Amino acid sequence: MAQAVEKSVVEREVALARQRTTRWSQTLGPWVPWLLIGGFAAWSAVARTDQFVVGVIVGSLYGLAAVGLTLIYGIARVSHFAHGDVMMFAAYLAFFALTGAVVGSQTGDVVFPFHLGQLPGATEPIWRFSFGYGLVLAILIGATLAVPVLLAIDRFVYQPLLRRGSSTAILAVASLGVAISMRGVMLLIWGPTGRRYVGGIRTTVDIPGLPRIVADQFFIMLAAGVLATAAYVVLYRTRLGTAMRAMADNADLARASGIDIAATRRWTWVVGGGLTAAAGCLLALQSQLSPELGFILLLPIFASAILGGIGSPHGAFLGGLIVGVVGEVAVGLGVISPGYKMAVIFVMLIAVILLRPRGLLGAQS
Amino acid sequence: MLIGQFRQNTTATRCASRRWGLRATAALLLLVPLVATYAGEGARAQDEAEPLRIAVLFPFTGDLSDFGQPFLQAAELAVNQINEAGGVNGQPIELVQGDSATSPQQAVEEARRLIELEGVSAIVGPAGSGETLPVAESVTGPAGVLEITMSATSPALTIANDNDFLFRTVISDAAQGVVMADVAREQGFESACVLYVNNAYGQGLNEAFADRFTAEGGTITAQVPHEQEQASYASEIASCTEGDPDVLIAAAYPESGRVFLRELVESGDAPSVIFSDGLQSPDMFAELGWEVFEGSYGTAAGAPETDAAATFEQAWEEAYGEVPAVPYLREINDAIYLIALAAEQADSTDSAAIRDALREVANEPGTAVGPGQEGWQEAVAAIDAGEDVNYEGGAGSVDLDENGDVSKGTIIVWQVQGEAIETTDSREIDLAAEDTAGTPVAGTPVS
Repeated sequence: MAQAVEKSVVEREVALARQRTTRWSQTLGPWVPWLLIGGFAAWSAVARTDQFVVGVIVGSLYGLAAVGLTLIYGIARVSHFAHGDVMMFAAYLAFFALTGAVVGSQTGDVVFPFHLGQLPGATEPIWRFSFGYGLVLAILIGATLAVPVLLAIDRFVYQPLLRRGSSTAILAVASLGVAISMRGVMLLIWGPTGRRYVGGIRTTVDIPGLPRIVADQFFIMLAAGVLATAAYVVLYRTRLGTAMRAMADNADLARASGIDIAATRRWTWVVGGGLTAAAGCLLALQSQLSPELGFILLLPIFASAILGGIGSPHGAFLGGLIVGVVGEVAVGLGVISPGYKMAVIFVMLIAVILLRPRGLLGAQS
Repeated sequence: MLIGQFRQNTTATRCASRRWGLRATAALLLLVPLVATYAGEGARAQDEAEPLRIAVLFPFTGDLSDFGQPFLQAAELAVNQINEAGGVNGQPIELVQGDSATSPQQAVEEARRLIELEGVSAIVGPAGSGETLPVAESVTGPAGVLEITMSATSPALTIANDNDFLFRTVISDAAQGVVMADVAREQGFESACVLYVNNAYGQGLNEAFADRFTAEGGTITAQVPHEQEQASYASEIASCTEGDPDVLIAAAYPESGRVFLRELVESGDAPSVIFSDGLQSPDMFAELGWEVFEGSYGTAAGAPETDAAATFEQAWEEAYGEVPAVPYLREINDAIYLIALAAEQADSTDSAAIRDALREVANEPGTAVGPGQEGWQEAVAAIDAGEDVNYEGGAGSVDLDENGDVSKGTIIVWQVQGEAIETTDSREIDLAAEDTAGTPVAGTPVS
């Protein structure tokens, strides 16, 4: 009898102790990643300004593409492995609109007679940018033209598979096939060698107290900011955005509430694909155009989407920024060799997922 | 009729037939390599009437894609010359193409395809050491197929586990690293950082350069590896230039170089740059702007001024016009000639037989023979007469040692001048004459 009482006292103590620890982790747990991220961002912005700026630029482009990826995954139900190649394809379309160049025989390029570079003053540099208004138009055209291509791929590849009840794995493999085909098309039309919109060394801007920034990077940051704001407005301030988010949460419930599933799905490709395509054009301006670059981009973009929480657009954008900054800053410390840039990103990804299984801004289950 | 029948099938039989279909597919998939192997064996058994099939595994895409087309032209030049002069064992050579994509995985897959499906007797390539090492160790070595690379320069290839089927017609980077360090010291640079591509090529060159540079009294401030084809190299450049070195040694490939060289110059006070052979790409300099790197030096394996080199250049000019300032064209030409000569000597298209004859035709003693149509006819006549031959190529004497390496070679020093890459100096290096402690004997300027 005495033993039983003792046992129940012990049990209660254990239960209380357990409760206390749960309370501790419940109150602190959610804040740990944010404290770490905030601390790291503040420190790197001050101590490693050069790499921080490049990280923000590249990261915001990863983020835009990751928003597209997460929307397509959440709503169109495709783990889209062709995402990086879509970015490069759009960049090449913009390149074609600007220069009209395609690869010819072994002797060199063939230039189509009608292209934006021919417009009067189109290549005249604006401010200290390396490009004129021709490139801005070309990027708009490239991003716009990529959308019907994506809609056609959805219509003729993914939708038939979905209707047949194919699993996520089959759709993922199909998208890998799309990726390889797109790369083949790019290789065929524009050749394997890297290209860029405007060659040569770009003008830099010196602002006291800040690192040297290439003028073009201001344009990239501005454009990325505009695109991110536009995406936010569409997703969180319009009926379409509400419908998209409802569909991502629960497709059956959304259908029962009278949401036009097919139309929402199409609009997802338009919004997500357009963002991705624009990010691709801007990334080509930052780096270069190369058929292989798309596949290399796939890894950081998936990491961004998962880090932010799959299905969460603002999480994906934040994830992109984190991936970009951590990748640049961590290897700039001299402790970790830059050969392990991607490894650093993925170790961080694993740490965050362990602390918050749904990602940073993923919906709580 | 058939379709009608299928439509009438019940779900159960449809499932059964699908299962059967799966099994049949699986069985077929298992059979393909078997059939391919048997076909390969069968083909190898009956030589003589059989044409010699040589594959080129070149980087038509990827980081080294600048070089794919000129490399192919160099291979085609040699094959056409030999075929017009009567071919090998009375049969024209068949040239098969494969794309290494500057990627180890792709190169291994392509090498498998070339051996298993195309049934080639020898492979020329791939270009980079990062691809050559896995191809030799996991495909051509185990399969017993001859592989000659014209441009994989990593010292790691010397000790590769290749079953003695891997050879190269270019001197190891133990030599290029030496000359790079010499050039850096001659320019009066006291400190250097190395920005190298993170593969066998970059690592090998980095070590060879650093050993020599420190032995000559220089200081290495940083050795920074980088991955190929990234969106930005800002952090790599920052780590490399942090110690404020006098010179940055760039051991990399053009597709990545286009990005990081631009970022390097844009970052402000960039040090001088010395380029490795991988960056000797006129296309890349044209895009970055020639004037930006005016006067900068680079190194590459080069050709001595011999009759064989002149023959090669003349043939190239007749076929394609001016010889481009792209490295390793002569080494490709030599690789094809060596394979053809060995096959002629062995009177066979069997890979092992060609390999066994390879050192005989490449090394002394023997009648010296060279490239070109006339060279080939002389060589065939000599072999028919039962004489030994010793091939002396456009890239050098290409004498192959027990590791399949050439120990004597020429390293050129090139410079960006105006809108062209000009060779300013060429130095002969004999790695066999160096002591093993890592302090090699200085190269002697010959021009």
